[in-house]
Amino acid sequence: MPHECTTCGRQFDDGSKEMLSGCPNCGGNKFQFQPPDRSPEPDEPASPADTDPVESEEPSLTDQSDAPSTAEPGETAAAAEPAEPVSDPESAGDVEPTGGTGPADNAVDAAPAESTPADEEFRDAEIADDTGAENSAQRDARSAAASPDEIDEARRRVADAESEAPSDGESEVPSDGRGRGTPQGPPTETPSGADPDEFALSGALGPEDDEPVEKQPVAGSAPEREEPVTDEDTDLRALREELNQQFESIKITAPGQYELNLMELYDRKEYIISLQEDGRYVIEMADDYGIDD
Amino acid sequence: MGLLTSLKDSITRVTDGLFASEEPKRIGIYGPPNAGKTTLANRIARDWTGDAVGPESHIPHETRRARRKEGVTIERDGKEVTIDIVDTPGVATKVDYEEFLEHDMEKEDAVRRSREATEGVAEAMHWLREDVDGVIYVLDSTDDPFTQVNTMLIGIIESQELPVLILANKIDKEESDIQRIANAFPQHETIPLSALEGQNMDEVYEKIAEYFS
Repeated sequence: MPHECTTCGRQFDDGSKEMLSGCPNCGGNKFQFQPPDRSPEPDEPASPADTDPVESEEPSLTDQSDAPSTAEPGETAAAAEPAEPVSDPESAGDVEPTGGTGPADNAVDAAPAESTPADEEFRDAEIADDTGAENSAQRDARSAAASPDEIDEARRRVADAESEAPSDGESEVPSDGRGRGTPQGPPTETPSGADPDEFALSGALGPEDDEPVEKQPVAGSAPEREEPVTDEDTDLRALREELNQQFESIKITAPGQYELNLMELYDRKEYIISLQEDGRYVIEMADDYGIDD
Repeated sequence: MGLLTSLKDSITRVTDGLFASEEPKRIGIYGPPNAGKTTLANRIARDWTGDAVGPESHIPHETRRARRKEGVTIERDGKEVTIDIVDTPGVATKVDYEEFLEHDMEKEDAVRRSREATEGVAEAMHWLREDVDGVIYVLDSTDDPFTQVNTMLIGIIESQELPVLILANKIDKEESDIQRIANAFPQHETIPLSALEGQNMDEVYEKIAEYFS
């Protein structure tokens, strides 16, 4: 029961759509995400192999196909891909240059098809590893321009990415699962001394490599992120990952670093209006707008 | 009877008055961060109502919540249009707090700004879906317009069949290249302007009256 209404305490299953229309009990639209029952494995070894069994214990979290209905299997797989060099940010732009029939229709009809430009861009953006990459990515996102050549190339890459996506997803399943929903460490003592920034629903993509390191730090196994790994960290990362999986319209790649799937954001009636610490978030519901659709 | 008739007449006049003019159209000012959306919104609002809409800044993502200025009546060449202006947060596909660090911001503030900006983008996209009747799309004419954000948003706007006015802002800058923007969106008319300096605002108002009336 990972989601709880903060008003009346009603709990919701992972991926429940009920809450997207507000709490059926009290109408509340503020929910708190609670990681599911953790399997305390204090001496969790650092090897990925050991994390797999845990993954199977938590199929609803780790299995892509059981992912919440709002999360697309392909996408989540791609999302957890740490460094998939599939496409440029520009690639997304060139995919939808047409307008008219456009992205919106496509998105509405084919939202699950994982072919929206932003998805591609997400894959590209899974470079949560070094700041250099982030800088350029961020720069690109704001103003990067694509030359016709780049556009062509990006188009090819998008096509490639689409065809590769499934296999990527499969290959990523282990690490994905590890990172996502299986806080294997002892259930959190609440993060007391940790940097508040760390809670900002962030670091979604970092966990894969860090998580196994929680008890026995193995230098080589954590190439991606340099932050000291603690139980709190792993727990929060798992939590962030979980949220990312549910709301793929916004991905949090690191504290203060977000990637947005514009089409997905556009496409949803409900949306998150407040990303808060410790897994809390507020959903604005369609009904609140009084729009008749 | 005469009294009733005149009463009825006056009621009719009142209701006619109420509904004669249509509801003001809600016009969203969209565009990437730092294109000058708020500067434009403020200029329009100041020119026609005397008030401003919100603070402007050279730091991207200054506007992180949509701000509305209602009932702005613009008259040009006998055309009159009353619009509600919605100044929306700049739309980006990535928001990174490090960008704000370059503007002498503390990390904590930058991270918070980043989160708020992200929420702002979500809000802007939501407005686009639900709540706008037309779009003023503002681009910085010193930047290359061929970006994914621009193509995606223009695509959405077109698919919604919303009237859209594309503005090439910041023509007061030397690097400004209006033609590049016109070339990027040949299916739309591009209006050059400097919202900051007030250049070519006459044409902007003319087009607003034309497009959104």
